[in-house]
Amino acid sequence: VTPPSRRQVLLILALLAAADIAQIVPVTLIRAVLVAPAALVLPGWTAGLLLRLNRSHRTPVEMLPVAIMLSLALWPLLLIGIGAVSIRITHLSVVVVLNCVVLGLLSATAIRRSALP
Amino acid sequence: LRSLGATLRTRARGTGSWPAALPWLTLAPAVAVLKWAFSNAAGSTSSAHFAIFWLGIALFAGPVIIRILGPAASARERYALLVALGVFLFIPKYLRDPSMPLFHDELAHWRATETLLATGTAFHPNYIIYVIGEFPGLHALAAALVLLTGLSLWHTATALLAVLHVLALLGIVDLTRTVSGGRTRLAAIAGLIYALNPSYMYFDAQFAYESLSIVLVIWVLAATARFTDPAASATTVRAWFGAGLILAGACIMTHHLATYALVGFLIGATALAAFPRGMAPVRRQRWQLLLAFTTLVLLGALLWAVFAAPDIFAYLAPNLTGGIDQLANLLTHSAHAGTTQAVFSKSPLPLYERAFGALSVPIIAAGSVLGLRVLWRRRPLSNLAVLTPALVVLGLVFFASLPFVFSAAGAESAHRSWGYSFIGLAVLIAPAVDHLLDPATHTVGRGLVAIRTLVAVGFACTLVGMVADGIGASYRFPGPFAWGSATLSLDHEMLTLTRRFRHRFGQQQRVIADYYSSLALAAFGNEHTAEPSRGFPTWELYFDTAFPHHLLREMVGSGWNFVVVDERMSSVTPLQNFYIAPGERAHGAPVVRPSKLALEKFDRVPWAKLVLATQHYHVYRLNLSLLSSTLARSSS
Repeated sequence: VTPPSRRQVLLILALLAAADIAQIVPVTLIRAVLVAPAALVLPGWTAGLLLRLNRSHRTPVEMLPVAIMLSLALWPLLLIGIGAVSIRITHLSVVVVLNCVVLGLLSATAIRRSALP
Repeated sequence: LRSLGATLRTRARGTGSWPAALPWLTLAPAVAVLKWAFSNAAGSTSSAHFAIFWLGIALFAGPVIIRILGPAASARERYALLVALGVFLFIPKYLRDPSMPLFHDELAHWRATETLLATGTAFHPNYIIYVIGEFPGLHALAAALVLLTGLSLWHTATALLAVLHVLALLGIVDLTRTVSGGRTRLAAIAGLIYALNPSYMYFDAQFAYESLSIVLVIWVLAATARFTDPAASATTVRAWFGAGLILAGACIMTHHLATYALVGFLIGATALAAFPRGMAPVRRQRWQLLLAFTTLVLLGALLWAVFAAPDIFAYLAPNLTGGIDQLANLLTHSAHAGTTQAVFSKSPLPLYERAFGALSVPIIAAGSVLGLRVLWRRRPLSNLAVLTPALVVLGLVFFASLPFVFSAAGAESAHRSWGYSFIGLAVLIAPAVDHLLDPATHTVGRGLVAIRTLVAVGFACTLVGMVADGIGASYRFPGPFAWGSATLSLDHEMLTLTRRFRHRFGQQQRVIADYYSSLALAAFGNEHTAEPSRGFPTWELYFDTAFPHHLLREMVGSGWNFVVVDERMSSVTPLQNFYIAPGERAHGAPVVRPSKLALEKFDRVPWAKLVLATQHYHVYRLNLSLLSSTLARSSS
C-alpha cells in the first residue's frame, strides 16, 4: 500500500486553508488564483488517495490529470446531491461542501490506512 | 541559436532529430499569427484569413507533430507537447469571440448556468434547448467554480474549457498507454490523432454539455482499460473501478448522447470480450468486472432517464428516425428534394480546404487498414487488451456514419458521432503509425525520413480537412453582419434590443420572435421565448398577410403578449435558410421571404401596440383581453 505522505497531507491542508482564506480576498484575480487549485484538484486528489489511485499513477505528473478529472466529475455529483436534499447551491454551501469533502476523504483515507495490517 | 542551427543542418542532411526547443520557440509567433487571422476575418470580405489561420496552426502544430513522431523526445517531453497542443488548439475557439458566448448551444448552457446561479437550484426549463435543464452536470460544475473563484461565468467557462481540451488528449494517452502495454510514443501519437477529429478545435471547445461529457467518456474508457488489464494488481483494479463509477456518474447527469454512447460501447465491449474461448482465469475475472461495471452504468442511465430526464426520448427520437428514414430513401433512390444534401454546397471554404476535406477520409481509411493489419499480427484475440476489439469497432463507426452526412436530418448526428469514433480511431491508427516509424521496419535511413515526412503530411492534410468537414465557416471566423445566422446575426443592435427589453418589461416575458432574435432574448434577456412547431406555427404570424385566428387563440390561451418583428425579413434571405424555425416550410420548398405587408400588419390592429423600436426591430405588446374579445366577435 502506498499511503499519502505527511508532505502530501500538509500540502492538501495548506491548499484548502488558502482557498478558505481567499474567500474574503476582495481582488477577484488573486482570489481565483488561490482558489482554483483547491477547487480543481483537491476533491479528486483526496478521492484518489482514498481509492489508492497513487498505486498506478505514482508521479505528480501522472496523478495531476487524474485528480483534476475526478474533481470535475465530483462537483456535479456533490451539487446535484445537495440539491436533492433541498440545500440551495450558494457561495456558503459550495465552500462547506469543498471543506467537508476534502477533510472527509482525507480522514477516511487515514482511518482506512490505520485499519490495514 | 548556434546549437539550433547545427541541429537544423544535421536534420537537413537526413540524420539526427528536430530540436526540442523548436515547438516552444514557435508558440508565441503562432498565437500572434492566429490573432492576425481573426482580426483579418473580422474586417475583410476576402478569404485570406483562412490561409493566415493555417499558417498560424502550422507554425506550432507542425514542429509538435514532427517532434512527437520523432525518436528523440522523452515520454515527459511528448506529454508536455500534447498539453501545449491542447491549449493551442483551444485558442481558435477562444479568439472567435473572447467576450461572450456565441454558438447556439453555448447560449443555452450559459443561460442555464446563470439561472442556476441566480436561483441556487437546478432542473429549470430552458427555452433554447428544452432538454438541457434535465442534464445539469456542466451547469453545476461551472456554478461551483464561479461561486468559489468569484470570476464571471464567461471567464470561468473559458478556463474550464481550456482545461477540458487538454484533459481529452491526456485521457487518450492514458487509455492508449494501458491498452498498448505501456508504449509511451504510441500513446502520444494516439493523442495527436485524437486532436485531428472534426469536433476537437471548435465544437468540443464551446461551453456546452458535450465538451465536458466527451472528456468524461474518454476517462471512463481509460479507467475501464485499467481495471480490465490482466496485469493490474487487485488494488489498482479496485481503485480504477471506483474512479470509473465516479466519472460515469458525472457523465450520466451531464449529457444524454454521451451516456448512451458509453453504455452502447460498454455492452459491445462486454460482448466482444466474452468471445475468446478457454479464457484464462484472470481474464475471466476482468470480464466479470466489466460486466458488473456495464450493468451499473446502464442502471444509472436508465434511472436518470426515468426520474430526472423524462423528455429525453421525445427529444432524441426525431433526429434518429429522420436520419434513418432519409438514408433509407437515399439508398433506394427515392429521396425527395430537401432530404439530401451535398457536402460543402454553397460553402465559402477555400478550394484547398474542401479538397483536404475529401482527401482526409481516404487517409483515415488507409491508417485504419494498416492498424488492423498490425493488430491482426498479434492474434489470437487473447493477446490484445480486453477493450481493444471494442475500441476498434468504435473507430470503424466513423466509416459507417459517413453516408448519414448526405442526409439532411442525419448529418448533424454523424458530425457529433465523430468525437466518439475518433477515440477508437486513435487507438486503431496509432500502432500503425508507430510501426511505420519504427527504425526496425526500414533498412535504409532515408526510407525512414521519407515515411516520417509522409506521415507528418498525412497528419497536416487530415487536420485541415477534418476542421473543414466539422463546422461551418460562420462558426469558425468572425465576419460582417449576416441575417439568419446563429453567430453572425448577434450584433450590437440585437444586444441593445435585448437589454432595453429586459430593462423595460423585466425577465420571463412570453415573447414570439424570429429564430435569431429568440436566441438573444432567451440567453441574454432571460425571456420566455416561444418554441415554434407544427402545433404552434408562429411563422404564420410573419408570413400571412391576414392574422391566423387559430394561432391567435392559442396565444391568448397561453399568454403570449409580446411579438418582435425584424423589418429586414422582407428583404433578406437567411443564411441558415429559415426565418422562424427549420420546420416553417415543407422539405425541398424554396425559401420565400415574408412580404412587407405581412410584417406591417401589427401596425393596423388596435390590440397590438408598438412599445419598443430600434433601427430594424419593432416590439409589439398585445392587449390579450382586447384580442380575446375581437376573436370572440369575429367567430360569432
